[in-house]
Amino acid sequence: MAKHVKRRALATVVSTGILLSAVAIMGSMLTAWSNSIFATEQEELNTVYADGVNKLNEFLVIEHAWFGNNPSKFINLTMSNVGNVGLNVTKITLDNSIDKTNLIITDGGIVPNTVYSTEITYNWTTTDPIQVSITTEKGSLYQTYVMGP
Amino acid sequence: MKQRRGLTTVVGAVFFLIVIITAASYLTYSMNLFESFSENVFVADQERENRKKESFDISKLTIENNKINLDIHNSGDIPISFSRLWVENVTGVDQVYRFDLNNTVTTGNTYEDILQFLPFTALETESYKMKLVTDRGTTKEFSVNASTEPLHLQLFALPEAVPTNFKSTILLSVTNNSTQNTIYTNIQPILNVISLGAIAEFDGPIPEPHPVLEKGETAIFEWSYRISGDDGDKIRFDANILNGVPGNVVSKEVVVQIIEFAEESGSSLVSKFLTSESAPDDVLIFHKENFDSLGERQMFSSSAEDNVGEVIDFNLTNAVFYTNSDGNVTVNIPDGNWNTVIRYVSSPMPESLMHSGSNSETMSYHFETDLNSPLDTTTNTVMTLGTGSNRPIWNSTGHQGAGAYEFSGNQFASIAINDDNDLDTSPSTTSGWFHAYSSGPASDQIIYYAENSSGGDYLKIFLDPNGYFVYELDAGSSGQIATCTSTVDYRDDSWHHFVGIMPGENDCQLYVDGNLEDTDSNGGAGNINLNGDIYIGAQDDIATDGFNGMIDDIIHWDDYGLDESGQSEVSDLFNTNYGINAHLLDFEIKIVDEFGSDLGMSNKTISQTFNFPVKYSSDYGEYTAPISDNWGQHNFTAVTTEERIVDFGERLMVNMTYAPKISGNLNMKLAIDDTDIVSGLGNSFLQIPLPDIGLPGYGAYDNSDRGTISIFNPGPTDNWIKYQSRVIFEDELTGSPYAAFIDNSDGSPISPDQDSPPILEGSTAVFEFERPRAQPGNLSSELIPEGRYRMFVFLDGYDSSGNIFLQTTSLGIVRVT
Repeated sequence: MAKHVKRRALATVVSTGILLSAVAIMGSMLTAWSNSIFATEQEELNTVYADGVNKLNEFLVIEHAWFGNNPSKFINLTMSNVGNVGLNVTKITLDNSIDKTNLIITDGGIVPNTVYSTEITYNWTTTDPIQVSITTEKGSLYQTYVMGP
Repeated sequence: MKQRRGLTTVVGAVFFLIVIITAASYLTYSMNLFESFSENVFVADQERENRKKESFDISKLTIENNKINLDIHNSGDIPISFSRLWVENVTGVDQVYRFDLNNTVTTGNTYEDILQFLPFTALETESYKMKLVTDRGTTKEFSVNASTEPLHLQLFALPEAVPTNFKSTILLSVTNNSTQNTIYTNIQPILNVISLGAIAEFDGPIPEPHPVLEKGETAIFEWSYRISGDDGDKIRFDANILNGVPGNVVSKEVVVQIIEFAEESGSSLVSKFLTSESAPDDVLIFHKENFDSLGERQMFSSSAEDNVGEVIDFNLTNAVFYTNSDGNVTVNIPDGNWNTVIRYVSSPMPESLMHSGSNSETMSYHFETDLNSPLDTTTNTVMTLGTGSNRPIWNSTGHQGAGAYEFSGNQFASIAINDDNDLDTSPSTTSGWFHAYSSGPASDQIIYYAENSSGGDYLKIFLDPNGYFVYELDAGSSGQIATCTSTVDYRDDSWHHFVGIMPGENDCQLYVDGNLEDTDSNGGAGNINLNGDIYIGAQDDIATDGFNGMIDDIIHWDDYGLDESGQSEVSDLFNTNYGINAHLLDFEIKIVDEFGSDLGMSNKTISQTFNFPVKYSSDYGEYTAPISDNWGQHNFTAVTTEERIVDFGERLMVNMTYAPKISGNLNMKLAIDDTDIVSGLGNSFLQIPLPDIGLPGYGAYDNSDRGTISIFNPGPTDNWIKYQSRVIFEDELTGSPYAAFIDNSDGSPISPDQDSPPILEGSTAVFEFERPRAQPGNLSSELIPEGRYRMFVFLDGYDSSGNIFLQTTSLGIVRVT
């Protein structure tokens, strides 16, 4: 009877160990999996949030366009960042339905309340309105029309 | 088994808990992010709203001593920070200047002399393009000394045909019809005179440049020339804008025309007029007569009737005017501007405060014009501004868009004390608006001060060293000084309204911005006998305790205390606008059928505009009717982009209806048909785009009988009419003239041997004329046929001063039946 009890005890310990190990392994896997999922989702949410908020707070004003013709025709564009966050101008497009120019900007970072000017060679006329389109890194698009003097 | 199950359950539960906590953390984090995002959306929305609320106007732009004087008025609902000004020279050296301004202007205030202290030199002969940028990104572009695109120019000559040596007035109308929303400033007209036989002698004055022309607005420049020459000689006037677009020129010819008479007059020409000048076809004068005009008033192209006219009280009725209907005529009116010019006077008080007798205000200053002795609309008292550096500076848009005086600690104005402002015994009230600068000193700043030099009595209205508003009275009763003090520092660069009431000699009540701030009641009788002068903006004539800010609308009731609890009089006064939004008028301009009924077609409506703001105007005149030519003037402009047709039997209608305000409503009265109103643009009228033919008038003549006309003599002399005087009918289509002698005056014959009886100053005489013919007096010549004619009266006579006069007066379009 006593022997029988000892065998039962050993089996109990072994089975308990197996069960505990199984639960621990499954639990660890589940925890790791859920953490991984949540971490990925959180990172994605952070990115969406940051993009959304930054885009929301971006505000660019095309302040002034100056038309010059020496040595060749050009437009000097000045824009100011009147939003709450810094922005990065990546592309400027000038289009008067006759001539379209796309200019890729690499130094277009503008901190809030500062201006950015650039001179663009462009064959403007005094009769055709020019559509000025400015694209930022976040994808915001600002447009205005200017007319040669 | 129970133990094993328990242990695994615990371990499983721990892991489950970890998962739940992780999920909950993620959810909480997501919610926080969402909340943060919502806040950002709200802030961005707020920014967008603020941008919409930003509004500013150019209130002044002139060039003096090679410097531009540029004033910008904040007409929006929030403070504006101007960050940059761009200036581009577009005629001289192609240069662009960028000025960083960084100047904040609070609501209702003006940023003055922006370019005075910047390193920029401007020339009258060169044109500039400017652009203002605010820190919220709002921009406004305007052009100085130039038009960058063709403007709508119209040139008028009044009249276009003159007897030799008579004057013609040349009017250039410049309308900003910019398609690029450009504002033009410092518009300078150029008028070239080209002789085509006649000679034009300039009769001054040279019109001043127009400071600011917003989109849709019209500027009118006026010259006067005396034209001389032989019959048929002409003068051509070419008008354009300095630095304007090439080819944007308008021309008008004036012809010397001698009217052919049966006898030569041989009289010399002197300008002694019986009536005012005639009106062209596009000017429809509002007349007081109401026959044939559907019970309302007439509107047609003819000069005013007499120097009595009519005053229309908008509180009692709206003002409706009709042209006549003519079943045989269609009038085509091209696209363009429809300008309604009203001459009016504003009520001095809101309706609740229109008291009579001793309960009415006894002193009232609104500072609508800059004068060394500003006008008291009650005419009871006299104010004198300090001189030299002690003179306060007038700000034309200082308060509610209208005039106010600015003090900078060293300026004052004084008012001589008389029975209308000496307080004496209770009750009394003093009110006004003040705008204290935040940069003001931490010491007393006087707004209103007066005393009794011998008795020690005084009334003192001031800001104390804390900026608190104080209304203080000393009636001389021992130890009993009534002091009412606010608990707010008003040195905040904003306008505030105060009402200080003396209900008893030793008592006071103070209201600021319509709210009761403080009371002090000591009881007992007293007697405040102020003498000498009241000082505004300082305590005395050496500017002790000078005020730093602006003051406006100082009003005093010497024998009345405003009743707020029963009549809301303090609130009404606080809500009263003595500025550019004093009144609201609805303008309806339509083509209607012969009975005045709406035709229900959009092309018959010219304008249906509600709540059009009309500025305050009462500095110059009595409310009942100014006794002299001192009426305010305001213009309402509607624009049509296509032709409008007044068809057979239809009428043109103008309906002006007053839109009263709930609180602080100022009534207004419209003046019409008065020959005494000659200042500015003259009487109240509607100017329409020049029609192909004149709209029907109300005059009619039956050619089967003799005719009758009335002639009014406004003075200053008595006059006599001679036999050569006549009426002239000119066929509207062919120009064929018919004429008839005036041969009877008030029953007395006029002949080559007998002049008319005197037409006494201020009286009207009735004249009879023969049946008009191609040759007046020749019974065998053609009798005037039926049709539409322009009718003129030619008067030849002399006055009681011994001067001779010749005068041609238009009576507009008349129908001969």
